[in-house]
Amino acid sequence: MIAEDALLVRRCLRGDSQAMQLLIGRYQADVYNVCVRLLRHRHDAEDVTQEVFLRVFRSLERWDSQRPLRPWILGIAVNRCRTWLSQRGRRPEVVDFLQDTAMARDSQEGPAQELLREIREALESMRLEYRSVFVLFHEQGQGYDDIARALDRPVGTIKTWLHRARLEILEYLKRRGVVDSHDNASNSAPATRLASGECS
Amino acid sequence: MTCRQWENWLDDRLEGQATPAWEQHAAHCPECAARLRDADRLLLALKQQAPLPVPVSLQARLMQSVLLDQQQRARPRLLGRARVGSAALLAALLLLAVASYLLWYRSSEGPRVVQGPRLDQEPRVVLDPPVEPPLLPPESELPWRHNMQRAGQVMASLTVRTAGEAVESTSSLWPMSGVEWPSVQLPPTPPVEPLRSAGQRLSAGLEPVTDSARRAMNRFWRDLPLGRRTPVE
Repeated sequence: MIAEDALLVRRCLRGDSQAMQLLIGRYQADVYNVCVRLLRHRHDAEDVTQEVFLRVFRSLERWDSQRPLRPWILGIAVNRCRTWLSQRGRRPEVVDFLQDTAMARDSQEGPAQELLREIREALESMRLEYRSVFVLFHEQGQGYDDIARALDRPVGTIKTWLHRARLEILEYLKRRGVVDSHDNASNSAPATRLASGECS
Repeated sequence: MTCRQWENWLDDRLEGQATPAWEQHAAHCPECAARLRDADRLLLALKQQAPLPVPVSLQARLMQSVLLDQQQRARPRLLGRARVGSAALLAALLLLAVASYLLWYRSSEGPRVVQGPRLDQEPRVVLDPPVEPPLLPPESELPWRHNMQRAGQVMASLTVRTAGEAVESTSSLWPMSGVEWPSVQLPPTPPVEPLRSAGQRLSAGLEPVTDSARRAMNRFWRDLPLGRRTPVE
């Protein structure tokens, strides 16, 4: 795959528009999905996806052909989302995810879909680092090494972030009553209790 | 085995690995059994999620924007290359012109490098002797009189030129006076040794004075009572 990507990139660098089309087609779904999950806004995700590919082609010469292309592109996507979110924090946010949730809830939502919706809402309230790692691992199927490369962090840090993201999601789901409550939900500080792992 | 380890088992479980120790513990611990069920539900839901389809409008927009961006970025690059190429061509032409001139200068009238008699000496650059005006011999052979003669020639030429300019300026102002312009004859070119002749004429004119002064001095010395009588030659 790396050799195939390297060949594709070489063609792109020569200005081969067919190769550009191929590269965009190969990675546009990954980039768009990461952007949607991190930004929770489809129009913003489209704009950021466009920015990501512009940056990808501008900096294609700097890509290390010894490393896989997909984590490199997804790393650019996460960075662009982070920048976008920091800018969006300074301006009024247009709520877009309602069209996601309301429409999906009314039409075809089963237990798994409801759980997924709750997971995504849990992700929304999470730190961006945790959210990025969770999305890259569980939605994009990236391994620890690739995520570490994409986010430019050590593998140990990635594992820690992913572990905390999972715990926070479980805690959120418990609070929402979506999962079986094995702890006493009326007790205070459930996250602490979850993390401590104390059984009754 | 304690249920404090469930967090470690959770990571393994959510990554699709088998966790027999957790299952064994959950068989005796209802709370860890519930946690295990939650983890499995979470994993199942995550596996069932489908990626969102990319909007068709976005697919077209991506390619257009990338191609447009590449074209916009390539244009200044091409202009930059053209500028560098022009500068290189100009520099090459300048170098060629300088080299051609140097080659031509050395082959015709330029300085010649002559190897000295000893190998450890630096090569000497010998210039051709300057072209002298044909009127006079080389400087080293000229006595002081000839130097005076050259100075006289220069002074005479300068005087004649100044006189000519004065006549010309006066002639331009003359019509205002309403009088007819007289014919002015400039002196001819000065003779070859004007200062020398002038000096000779001056010496001849002053000779009686110098003779009288010499006689007066001789009488003075002769009439002195105690002084030696040394006549002035």
